[in-house]
Amino acid sequence: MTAIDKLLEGFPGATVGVIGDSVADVYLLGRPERISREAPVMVVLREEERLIPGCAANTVNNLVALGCRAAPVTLVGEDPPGRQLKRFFESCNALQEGILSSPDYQTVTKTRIMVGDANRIKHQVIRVDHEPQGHLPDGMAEKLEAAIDRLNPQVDAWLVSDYNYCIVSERVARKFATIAAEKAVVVDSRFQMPLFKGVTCLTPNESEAEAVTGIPIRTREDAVEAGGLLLSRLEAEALLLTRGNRGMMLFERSGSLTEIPVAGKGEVIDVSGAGDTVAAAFTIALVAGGTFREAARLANGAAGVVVTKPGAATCSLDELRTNLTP
Amino acid sequence: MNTRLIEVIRSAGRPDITVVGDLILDSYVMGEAGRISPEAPIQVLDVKEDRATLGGAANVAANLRALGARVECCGVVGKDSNGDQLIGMLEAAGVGTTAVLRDGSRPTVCKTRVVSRNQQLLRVDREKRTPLGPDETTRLCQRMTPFLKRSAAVVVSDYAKGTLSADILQFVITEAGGFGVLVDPKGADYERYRGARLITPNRREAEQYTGLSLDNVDSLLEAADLLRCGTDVREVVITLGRDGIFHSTSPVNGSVMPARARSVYDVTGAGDTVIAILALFLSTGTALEDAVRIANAGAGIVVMRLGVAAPNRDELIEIFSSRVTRAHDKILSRQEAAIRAEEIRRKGEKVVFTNGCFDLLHGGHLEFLRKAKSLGDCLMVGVNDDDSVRRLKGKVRPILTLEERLDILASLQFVDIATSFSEDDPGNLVEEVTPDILVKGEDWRDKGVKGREWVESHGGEVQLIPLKQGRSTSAIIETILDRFGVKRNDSDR
Repeated sequence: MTAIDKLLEGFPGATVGVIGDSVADVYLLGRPERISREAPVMVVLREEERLIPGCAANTVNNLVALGCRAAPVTLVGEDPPGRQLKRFFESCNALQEGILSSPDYQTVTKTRIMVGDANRIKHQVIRVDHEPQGHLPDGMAEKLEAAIDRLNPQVDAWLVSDYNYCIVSERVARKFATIAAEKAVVVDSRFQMPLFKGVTCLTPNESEAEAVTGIPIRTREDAVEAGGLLLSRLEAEALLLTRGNRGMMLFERSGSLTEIPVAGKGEVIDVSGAGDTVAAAFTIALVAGGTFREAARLANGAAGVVVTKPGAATCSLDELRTNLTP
Repeated sequence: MNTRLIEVIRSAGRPDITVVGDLILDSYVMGEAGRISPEAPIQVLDVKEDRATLGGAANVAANLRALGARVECCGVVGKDSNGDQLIGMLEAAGVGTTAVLRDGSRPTVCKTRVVSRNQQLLRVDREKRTPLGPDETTRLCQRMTPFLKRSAAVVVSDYAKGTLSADILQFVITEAGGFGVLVDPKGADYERYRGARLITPNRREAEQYTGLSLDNVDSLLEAADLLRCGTDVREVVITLGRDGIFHSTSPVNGSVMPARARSVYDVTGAGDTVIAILALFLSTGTALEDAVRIANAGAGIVVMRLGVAAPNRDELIEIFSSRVTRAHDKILSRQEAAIRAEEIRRKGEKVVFTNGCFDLLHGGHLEFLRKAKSLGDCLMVGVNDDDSVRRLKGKVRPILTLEERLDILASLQFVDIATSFSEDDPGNLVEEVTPDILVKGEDWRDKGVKGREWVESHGGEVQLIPLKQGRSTSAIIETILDRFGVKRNDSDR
């Protein structure tokens, strides 16, 4: 049994706390019917609507697919998409106590309207986003913090899945710097990376790294410079820079740099949500006792699986094992 | 002034009217389309507001209710959240829903318009047009029966969404009491409406049915004859959009009543208003010509509003009360104000916008507004609503209510549009209106004019106008208190 196989064996025993913004990724499927008489626009006849858990909920979905238990700390509205997300969290056997809901919060939804005749490819024609008001309902920040405190003894590691809607505040970020002294804290933060000083590891993509460092990443050397700068500035133990079709770079505090090429031979169909998969696989691998390097290799393998699937997708333990087999 | 019609409108009473037909929820998803999606080459709409209004037969019912009738609405909705919402809205409007069936096998008919800056980008319809099953048909007929019989009139509002099968239509026509059945038709098969009293196709529908091109009174008379032959109706009313309404009671008798609306913003629901007004007034004994005249006025009101909005009798009376432009016409909702601004810009004219509380209008205000108007063609004034004045000026203000302040401003010759906003600053309203010239008092020079960036980035400019020293509402209040020797209690402020 290889070291990697042994690591994978450890996945089902892990419990990972996930704090972040849950989003309802809605796909409204329809067919073009006619041009409206009210305005020169197409009338779409709605056939079907599907909801896929997105952002932090996608991270949870990925953790669960890899066999681990998730403990989400998140907020949904008391609206139809919010109720559907709650049902999703229940169905995936996640710890429920950190899943908060409020009538004063509108669930973040991104509705892709996909149109095409029967038996033809449906094209996205517009996306309609409901985003929150930018602040939490009264008293909710305290409830979220209390949920973190309550769940902390039950989880082996934390994964911050921050899409900058409003769940993750500066206070929450500071809390995780403290928690990082006792267990792994992996941070995937779209716009707020600088808030997270002293966590275990961050997993930015190139554009996130560019935004924080101000270094435009064109060449390998640019990436090395930006990654190194981020690692030292944020005082993390490691930093995993994801580079799309150019693979990944792992920076460690020791100064070592590991470059990992893209894993898998499948055709890349859709990269959305791949960052959630990377962070999830990386975190579980750390919990299972892997080194940063081993965790990065596993994360890379998992990413190679989900990009071959449409939309935000998941990678199962078996798929991961297969993709890692040379 | 038309005292006779005013009397007709006033004395129409509160008849029982039953509406049968396709119940529709009209939904509007409104926002900014300011981004391209990272996933596909398409716009992303950031939604700022979700709004729903009653459509189809439900809108006819709401119109009748607004006119003062006692209304029962009959039809089918799904067992879904849209159905809950539609029934809730009907009940909130005061419409009876005893004969609204819930059918789990179909969704509530819902038309969603995706809108940005008053432009529709896409419409998404949710519906299942299959006819009702035999059980549902029986249930619906049973529930409708008591209402049909006791009604002064029955309105059939057909949007071809499956509610009105030939069987149900014949049942309704046979059972209807009072004046009889008025039909707003749809589709090609008008035989189904045989036995109704009156039919109100629009021009396109009548052209499709008759194969005629309806552009003069002769052709309209011919169409009315064909409609009479095909359905046995007595009265034919054809709505002609901007050209008004044609009506005919016999083969030799028919004429066109020209439209009253000066500008048309949204024709959605105008046909619903027309048939509602006809039903109310015809069922209370008004002659067809007078009923059509009132319907024309009602249609004129709704087309000047965005979305479907039912006029009430006071609004109808006001139209027949005066021939001069009423201050009322200048007071618009935010949405209407934004549309009007867009229209004015399209004509190549300049929209000037300013805002304020305008509590106790004084000479300083007048001079300021006069100057503002002179900078462009159309002066729009955004007025803080009562709550926002309270927040800005203290809880003892405003002295005058928002309604009074709007009315006073709209009565000024040089104010073209008055609208209100509830935020502390007019930033959002400025973005909605996107004026060519944003005007503020010179005292704002160093305070940062809200909306400046928006206006400038959209090709407009900001102008600061000098203020008359010492003229302010607060100063007037102080003067009054001083002169009348009232000691001020600062804790009230």
